[in-house]
Amino acid sequence: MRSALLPSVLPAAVRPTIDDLYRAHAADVRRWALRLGGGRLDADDVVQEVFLVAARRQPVFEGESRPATWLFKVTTRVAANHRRRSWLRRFWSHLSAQVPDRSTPAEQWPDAPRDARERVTELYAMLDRLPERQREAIILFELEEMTSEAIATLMGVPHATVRVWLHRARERLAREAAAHVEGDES
Amino acid sequence: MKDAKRDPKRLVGGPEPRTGGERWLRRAFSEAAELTAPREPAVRVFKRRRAEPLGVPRRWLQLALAIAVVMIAGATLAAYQRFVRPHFADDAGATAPARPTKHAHRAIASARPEPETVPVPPPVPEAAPATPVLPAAPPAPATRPHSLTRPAAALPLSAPRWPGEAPRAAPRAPQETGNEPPTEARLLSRALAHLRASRDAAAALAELDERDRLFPNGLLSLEALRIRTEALLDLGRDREALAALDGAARASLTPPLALVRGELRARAGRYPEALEDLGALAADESTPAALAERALYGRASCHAKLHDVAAARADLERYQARFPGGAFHDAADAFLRSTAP
Repeated sequence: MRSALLPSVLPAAVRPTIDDLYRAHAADVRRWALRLGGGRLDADDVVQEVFLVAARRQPVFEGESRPATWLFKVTTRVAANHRRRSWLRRFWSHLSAQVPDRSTPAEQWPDAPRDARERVTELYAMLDRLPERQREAIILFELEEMTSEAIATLMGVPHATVRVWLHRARERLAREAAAHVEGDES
Repeated sequence: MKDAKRDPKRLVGGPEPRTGGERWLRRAFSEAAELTAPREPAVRVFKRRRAEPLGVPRRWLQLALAIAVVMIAGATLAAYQRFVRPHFADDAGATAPARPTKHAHRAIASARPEPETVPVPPPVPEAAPATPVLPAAPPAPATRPHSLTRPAAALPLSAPRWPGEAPRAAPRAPQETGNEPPTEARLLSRALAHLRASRDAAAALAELDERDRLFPNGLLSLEALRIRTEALLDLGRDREALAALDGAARASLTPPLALVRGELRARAGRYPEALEDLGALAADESTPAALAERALYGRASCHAKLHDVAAARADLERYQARFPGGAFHDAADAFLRSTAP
């Protein structure tokens, strides 16, 4: 009896193709992009770019780490680049009606209450002032509801390091939020 | 940092915050979680976005396409009535009635040049395999690069036979007198004869196309599907075979057809759907051992492709226990060793 799947499937299971990566992780990458961007970038553009990078860099990646860890690393870089370039998109959207400006929370969440949009915008402004790795860790912890152990696995760092990042990020955010609340009350 | 030895308390869903700043943060994180949650699956988003750049209002596009299809169909039908059918009727020595159906078919049948006798396939020799449910596939032609991965090239799709059942003779086309109308069963018999006796899958497909044209809602649709699948696999048109099988409900498929569909879906990268087909076969204790072996191995492969190594390992361990001398034993062993914790 001939094998229907043996030659093509099992050996490839050790080295996933870009299609496999896309099927298995596209939803995760999109969710990460939404959470990391906080409404200021187009998550679908980020997903496309992440998998373009993944396709280009896959031979280099093979065997280096878990696919999810590698893709998360790529996603954080691409999302950071998109955030830096968001001013260009805003500028372009002023020139052309064909390019929607998705770089502001008001455009991303037109149905959300205004005060909620403002609070989330302010929250992401505070998050942006954190060091990058602390920012990623606290977003995964609070928004993705991941445990510190899962975050450590995803980010490819020791567990204790993630805990330190989370504590530091929480302290700084609490200080800034308190100042923000006091400012509003006064 | 003493607190760093344990996780901080989660703001959202954790204990009530003590300070105003933490309360603000809790509310902001809660709203951010809601606002940044994905609203539709990533794949659907890409399909929608890929359709967007057309720049044409899609409702108008659909309407225009529908009108075009209706016009082309009308023109084709008119041309057929004007040019093709009268010739058949004339050749048969009959006058074409205004709206004939059976008469036209009879005329077509009598006008079509057919051999004097329909080729009759030779009977299966006595030395046929004892369990031909899954006989060894014929040697792969050198021109097909993926022939090794062809699912079930030799599956007896038209007549699955269970172990222990007596061998059946190859299909025998009914004797025709030449002027009988082509019935659905007759067309399928011809297709099967082409496929089995003369190994002419293209001719079999032509007969099946004729059957689909004359009997689109015929009672033998499942038989036609089986023969079509086998013919398409013979021709290496696996994608079309999968498209044909995709339209069938799983409950209506025989175990060999369900296995072929599962393997084709796996080869097409549609692993979750393949898992449904192969998983049902692997879990069903009444599935013949030869099919169950491939189904179990296929399910393990799909799990592996979806990076569910634990499930793949469990299936392969089950496979080795159930089929110690199985065809995929070595590959399973290699995979288990390479993924050992």
